Amino acid sequence: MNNLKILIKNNFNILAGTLQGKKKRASSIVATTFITLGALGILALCFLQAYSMFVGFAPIGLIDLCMFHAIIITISVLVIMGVMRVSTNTKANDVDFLLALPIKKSTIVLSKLINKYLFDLFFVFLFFVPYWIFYLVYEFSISILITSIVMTFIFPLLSVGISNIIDFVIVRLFNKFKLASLYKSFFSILLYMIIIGLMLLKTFSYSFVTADSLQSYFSDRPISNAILQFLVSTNWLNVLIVLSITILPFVLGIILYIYNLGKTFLAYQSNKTTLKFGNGKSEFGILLKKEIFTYASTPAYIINTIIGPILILALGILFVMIDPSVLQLYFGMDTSNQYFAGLVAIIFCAINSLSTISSSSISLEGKNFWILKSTPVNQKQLLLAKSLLHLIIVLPTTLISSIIISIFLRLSLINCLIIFVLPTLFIAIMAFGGVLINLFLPKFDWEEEVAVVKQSMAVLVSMIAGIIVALVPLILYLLLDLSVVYLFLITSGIYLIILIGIITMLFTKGTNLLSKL
Amino acid sequence: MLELKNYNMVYPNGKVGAKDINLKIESGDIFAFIGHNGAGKTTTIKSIVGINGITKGDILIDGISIKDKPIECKKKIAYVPDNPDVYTALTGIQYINLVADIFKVSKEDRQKLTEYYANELELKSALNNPISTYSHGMKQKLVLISAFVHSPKLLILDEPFVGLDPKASFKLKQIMKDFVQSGGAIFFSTHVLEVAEKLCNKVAIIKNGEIVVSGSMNEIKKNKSLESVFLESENE
Repeated sequence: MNNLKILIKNNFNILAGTLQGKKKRASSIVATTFITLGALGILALCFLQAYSMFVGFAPIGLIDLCMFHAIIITISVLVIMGVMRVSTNTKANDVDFLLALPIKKSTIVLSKLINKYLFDLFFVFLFFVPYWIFYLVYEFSISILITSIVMTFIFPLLSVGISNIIDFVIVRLFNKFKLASLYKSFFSILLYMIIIGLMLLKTFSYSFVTADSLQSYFSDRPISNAILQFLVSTNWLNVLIVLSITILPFVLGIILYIYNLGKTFLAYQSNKTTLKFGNGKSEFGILLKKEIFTYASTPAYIINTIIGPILILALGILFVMIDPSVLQLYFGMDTSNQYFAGLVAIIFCAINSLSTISSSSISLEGKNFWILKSTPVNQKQLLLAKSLLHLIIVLPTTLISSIIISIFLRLSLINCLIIFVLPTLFIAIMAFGGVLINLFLPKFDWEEEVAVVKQSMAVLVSMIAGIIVALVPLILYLLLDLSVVYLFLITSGIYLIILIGIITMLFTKGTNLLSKL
Repeated sequence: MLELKNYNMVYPNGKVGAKDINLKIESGDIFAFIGHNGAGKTTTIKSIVGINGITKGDILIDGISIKDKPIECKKKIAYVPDNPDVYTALTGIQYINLVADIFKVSKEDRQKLTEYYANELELKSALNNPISTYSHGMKQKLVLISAFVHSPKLLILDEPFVGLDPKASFKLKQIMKDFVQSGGAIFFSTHVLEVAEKLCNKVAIIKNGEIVVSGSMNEIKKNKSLESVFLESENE
């Protein structure tokens, strides 16, 4: 067996071991089944989405638009995946071990990238493959089949390449600074905002494309257009363009990764000789400051939880920027409709369910948990500080977006109340509920933060519970067909009861759970 | 077996990790590398095993430059780091198999060597358990077993006794003696000066990246203890 095969086999052993954890084989089977069913469910939904799009657009001659949409979404998702993965290369803690073994650096790098490639290939199967399958149903050709398969397998190279390039830039730019982690986090957020902004701007208007305006719509988006042309009318220029936006970043990323591998970039070192001592601030203030500092200095924590607030802010700005007729088309109602604000509130809540800051805050203590356990920290204040961090990060963007929407769309008083009160209560539920869920489902044994902030059971449960709570007003509307005022009052009441219940439980049972951890 | 020739290491931020180090370790030597925290021990060790680069000078393993032929050199080395960071999702035996696979150790040899060293260090019963259930000392034992499983010529140990129970420490000292008697060489850093004094025939003291004392243990000590020599070098 060559070294690459050995390292890939090792990757799978690690994955299997992670699924199995410390428990019996049965839990491994349950976890694998759960993940497989979840993945198949998402795949089915993506097929359904693609099917609906083709059924709607094919009869009016806009079949290429469906493929174009798939290409834009896939590129966006892959770029976001690339940014999300930033910092994982340099933080991998097996690098020293691997470098000390008689293995080529290129083999180490390839073994690490194959994992990422396979992970991203799954997303290509979700967002791209269903579309070209339906495309072939409508317009079958062998060449399109071949180019689609080729594209499917070279698409993930884009995200792998991007993450390595950004990683290289971040390490080179920021490691020497005192607040390196903070700069890395802000840099990643900035990239996120640019990508999400571009994605929304480039995809929001496709519903207005007609057969006549199709070509100009495509030519406004040259990268996606080149990929589309590569798929439907392969010529050498298109092949070159596609290769330069997938394989070129990948190769560059590998070269930079190999170049950085094993280089020790010492962190910032202060020249100051005088020491500044604290003056005994309040315990709660110290705990909250610790939570904020942990969040700000953990890029993986920020990158994986900030997407909700950024999306909400982007949506708020978009609501003001785009034509009201577009909003009407998307919402199926005029902005003056009494249910409009309710729908916006549900969207805000659903997006906020992606922000799972508090549900990994206990697990993130990891190997440092002993510090909190062995010091006379007030447990209630600790839990409150963790919940408050969630509110501090998530609530402001929702409030800003609500203010923007209320002012610019001139909403009625009741509509204003709806988009302020419901998301605020929802965010509070997520903040306190997340901590409570994490107390029930802690995970202290992790190597990289991403294993907790993205892949832990507490985060998954928190997201699912959040989506269910977010849909409460919609379920009530469908079941009871109430007027907007009653719907608002009942939903607020339910949210309030849930919130009080969670807070009571957090500060009674929660503190007991915390002391038993 | 191991030769550091005018070895220098400067970090990208300009900090000097090691300066003009010249050392020679022959087969049969147990070489103690001593210094205070941050003196440059781990920096030097990481360059020897090919993790860190070399800014100037060279490091030869069995006459081969680690700069020119890193793979050839690494095949002759076993490295035990100061912090046994191992894949916690693997079982102990999976980890040993990983190392044995990379060093192309036959099934018979890996079985024989693993059983021998696992028995010696009393870890055999835990090898099928996930590493996540191991204590620090058990991880250290596992890394030591995986170091011996491919029969290296040169053993590089960074603080190998940290976390080991007294019995395992005793066993490790025996294993180290047996290893050098069979023609191997050991280069190891330690803060436990008593162990270094009893176990090693050569010693070097590093301070701020520079070797301040180097030679055979008897030459260096004369009629003093190693602790006195070290403290004197620190106060100079």
